[in-house]
Parts: sequence; C-alpha cells; structure tokens
Amino acid sequence: MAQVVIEGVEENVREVMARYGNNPARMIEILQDLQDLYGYLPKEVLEEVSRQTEVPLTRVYHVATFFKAFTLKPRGKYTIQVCTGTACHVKGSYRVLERFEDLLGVRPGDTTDDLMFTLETVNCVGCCALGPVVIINGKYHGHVAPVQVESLIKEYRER
Amino acid sequence: MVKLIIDGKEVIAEEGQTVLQAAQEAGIYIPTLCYHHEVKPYTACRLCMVEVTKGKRTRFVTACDYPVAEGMVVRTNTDKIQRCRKLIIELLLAQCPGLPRLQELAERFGVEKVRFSKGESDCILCGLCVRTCQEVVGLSAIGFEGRGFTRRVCTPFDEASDPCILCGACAYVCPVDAIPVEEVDGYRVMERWHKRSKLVACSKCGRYFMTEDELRLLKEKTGLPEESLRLCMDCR
Repeated sequence: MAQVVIEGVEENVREVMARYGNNPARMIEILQDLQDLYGYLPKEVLEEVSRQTEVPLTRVYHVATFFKAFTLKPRGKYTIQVCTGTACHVKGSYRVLERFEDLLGVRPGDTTDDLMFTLETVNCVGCCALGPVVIINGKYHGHVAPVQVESLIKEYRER
Repeated sequence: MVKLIIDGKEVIAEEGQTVLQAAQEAGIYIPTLCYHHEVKPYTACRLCMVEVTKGKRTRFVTACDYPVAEGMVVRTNTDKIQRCRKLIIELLLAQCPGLPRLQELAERFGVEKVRFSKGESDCILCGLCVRTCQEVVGLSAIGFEGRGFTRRVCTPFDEASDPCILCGACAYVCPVDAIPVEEVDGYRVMERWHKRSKLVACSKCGRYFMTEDELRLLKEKTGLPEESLRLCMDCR
C-alpha cells in the first residue's frame, strides 16, 4: 500500500470540531467533514477525534465502522461503482464486475495499490434502462459490456 | 410499592424495579444471557422474554428492562414463551455452534436440532463485556465494530488497546466463556485483545494477584502508597 502523508491532524480536527460547537454528540458530522478532507478516515484522525471529544476510541471506532459512508482505508483517485441492482444484474452486470476485479486485482470495497481506483458495488442508481451501469467519479456509463471494461480503465488511468 | 402477579404468585416490588428483578427476588427463574445486575439492561439476547398482561392487552416483553406496574400479570413459562426461548437458543446456536455453554442451554430447554445454516463465531454479541468495561471498569477498552453480520467485539483497529489493564472483568462476565485469560511465565495474556501485562506478586505471600497495568491505574485512582497496594486481598 502506498504511503499516504497525513498532516495537521490536530489543527484540522480542532477546526472541524469548532464547526459543530465542540459537541461530541455530532460525531457523525465531524467524521463526515474529516473524511471529506482526507478522502478517508485515517487511524491518526480517529485517535485525535477521541482525544479532543473525550469519547473513548472504541466508540469513535464503532461509529466509523458502523456506517457504510465511512471508510478507514485510503480511497483511489477514481471510484468505480458497478451497479448490481436487479435490472443491471439481469443485464449481466456481474460479468462486468468480474472483469473489473480481474483487471484491477481488487475486490469490491478495496483500492488498487497505486491509489488510482476504488471498486464498489451499488444497488440500483435509478437508470435501469441503461443497464449495466457503471459510475466512475459521478459520471454514468450505460450499456457497459465486459469487453469495454479494459478501455474504460485505460481511459481514466491516462487522464 | 407495586403489587403484581408473576406465574400466579403475588409479588410486591418497588417502583422502578424491572420484571426480572421482581421475579428474581420472588425466587422465580427467568433465563438470561446478556443481563448482569451491575450494568444497565441491554435487551440484546432476548432470552428473558415473558408474557405481560396489563388490562386487556397481552404482550411479549424483555423482563430485564420492563418496569413493574400495579396489577400487572406476568407469565414466564407459557407454551408461547417456551417456543420463543427455543427459537432464540436455536438461532444463537446457529451463529455459534461450538460454544459448550450454549449447548448446555440448548439441552436444558429441549432444543434438539438447529435448522439454520451454521456460522463459526464464538461470540453471541450480547455486549456484556463491552458494557462492563465501560460502566463498571470505566475504561472502554473494547467495543463493537461494524454492523449486521460483520458486527463483532474487538479492540480499535484490532490492535492492543491502550486503556486495557487486563483486569479480566470482560472474561468474568462473558455468559458463554468466550474470552480466555491465561497466566504464563509471570504474564497475564489476553489473546483476544492482543494484550499482555506483567503480573505483580504480593509482597507478603508472593502470590501473583494483579497486573502492573492494574496497579498503575489503582495508584492513580486511589492515591494510596504503592506498598499498600502491593499486598493481595488476603494479606491486606
């Protein structure tokens, strides 16, 4: 895993906490803002949050692992979301997902070692007529066939 | 004072008591797993389910947190309750098939086979250890991680937890004996929390009786001189 440099944790946490009146009850919002800042929730950040809110680390860790919106692992530059909802599944999205897994060498929820791609699955994004749907950093790609996956990855890698 | 009827027996309880407390004081048995009188009720295991009739309504409630009320009629051993308990034990056993304590319970309540697909966990997720560490010991060294079927009890990041003093309270309260504590070569070891601490021997009788981490915390909390704390309970 590539080394990620984490700086200014103490000041950043203090600033975010002040935004929420230093109220530990607003833990979710505090963690959300910190995740926006770092792209994920590094261990150092959770420890600092625990120190400053005086909430035991076990509690902070529980909140951070409970919600799917939080991630404790670094995220890639591009997030690839493969829809595995009913319509996309029927249209063969699992084969598209398999192709992504093979080419990137990661399972859904994981990030490539070069921190380029994070692979995820989602359950229906509301445009079933376009299935199978793949969303890369918010851009929707419809009717994705397994053979197109390689060129999609290439396209984003070369950006 | 509140008067209620449990299994046909008139019971007098104090206001604010729970059905479980009232039943225990009256010598009526209600099975529990996640309950301990030193920590707040949590209603995780659902094993203390009883039938409560107030006025015209009958409901199933967890006895460990349900407050007593005047004129309440409680039944702890009806057919429905027995079926309910059996199902709960069966589900717990499906999750943790290898736990002797659960197997005993299953035998006692006549659960003969498990119809559900089996897991391989050794923890029933009742959270009694987590709550004891928080409420009684006051350290919160262990906690929950995740949710749903990935939920488990662990130390943060699965690393040795700083606040843990290896007091073993979690192991003591665990209703299924799933937290091993070992003492080897002058160390107390708790593999589950990735932690070990040197044992302190009593300065009089020489018996190992606490860990250095415990001693440190005791000194901090009580402010007593170390020599007096280095004596075991028998020599004090």
